[in-house]
Amino acid sequence: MNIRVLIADDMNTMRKLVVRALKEMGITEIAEYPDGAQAWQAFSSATPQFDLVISDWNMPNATGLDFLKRVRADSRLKQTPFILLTAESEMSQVQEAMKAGVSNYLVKPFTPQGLREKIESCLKPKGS
Amino acid sequence: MKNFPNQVKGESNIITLPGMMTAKLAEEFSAESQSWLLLPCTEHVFDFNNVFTLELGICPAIGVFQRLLKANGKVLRSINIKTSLMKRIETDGIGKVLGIEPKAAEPAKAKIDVGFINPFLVAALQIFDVQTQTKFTAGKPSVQNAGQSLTDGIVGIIALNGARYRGNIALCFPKDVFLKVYERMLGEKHTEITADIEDAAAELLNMIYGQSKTVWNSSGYEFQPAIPTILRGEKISVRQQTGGPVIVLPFSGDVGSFYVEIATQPVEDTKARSA
Repeated sequence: MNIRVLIADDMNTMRKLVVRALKEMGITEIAEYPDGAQAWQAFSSATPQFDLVISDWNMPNATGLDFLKRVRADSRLKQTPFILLTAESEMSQVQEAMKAGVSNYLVKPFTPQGLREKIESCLKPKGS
Repeated sequence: MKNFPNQVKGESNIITLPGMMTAKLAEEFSAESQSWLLLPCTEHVFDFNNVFTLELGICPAIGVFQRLLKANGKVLRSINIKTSLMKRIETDGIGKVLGIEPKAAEPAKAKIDVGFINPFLVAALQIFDVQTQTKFTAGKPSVQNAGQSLTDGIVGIIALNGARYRGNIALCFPKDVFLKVYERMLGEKHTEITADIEDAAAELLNMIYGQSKTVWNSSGYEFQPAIPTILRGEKISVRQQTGGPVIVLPFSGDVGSFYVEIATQPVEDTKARSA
């Protein structure tokens, strides 16, 4: 899969798990950041743009939800698929994320297969 | 026939009380007690074996006797009190007059709230299975007065902050168990716990907490999201700040054993402690 993916998670272990799962899918262009603020900075200035974001929710500085809202508020970047990969699984939180425009929501713990399905669902052309 | 027969046994004067300790007997008691005061006994013992009625009206006379004994360095005590009568004595607050020491308050027995613990157990077993491909078995939870010490290992800690309870949860791994779990999780073999791998303890706890929180909060606990922290070293003691008991949950599997400590305190108590 020839796409550029940005990962935001404050846990090194979780970033490694996601990277490993992405590499199994053949994705090699991967950038990692430990919080929402650094992720947004890198994401908003990247050339070419990232094709997909996979972000944790609870992170220091800026949360994954803050990051998502910034992405969706940017007219140039707002169409980028954004997956929240988080331990937060309360319905109110899922609804909050959906309201903010999340493309897909995956609850930890996750399997590589589960992540693949979420990614493919995000990247599938609308209407297909 | 005397209503208050007595018998001296060594240093003790045993007084057998009548079945009905009525106010009418107060005068007779006072008269008899004068003679008991002259006995060379260090203690006087009321035998309540026959007593089924105790009227408050007789208590002033007993009170005078008890005070005189005390003034002379002697002791009054009561034996063979039936449970129902003891309840009356406690209710009426006359135990001291009869030489009955108030019962020391028993320390509150900590109970394990199954409704609280079970979601955590279920989440822990499922998360280790999915994320580390390791099946653990939960042992019997126990309640302890303080946290345990961990020799050479790693601890992930997350703060509990909810509407009903505050406290913390500590996920405690011995070094070798953590390294094996990490290897299962990421396929990387390490011989030491380094900064590069330590946050796996925090992430596992984060996942367990997240899943448990969903169940807890559906029952109104209102726990807030939290970011875990890590402790590692050769001797780690998690000093629980709640002041309450600590629930210890042991887990074991083919890679070894680890345990979880959960310390909670009702929010009202934590407010009082911080006031």
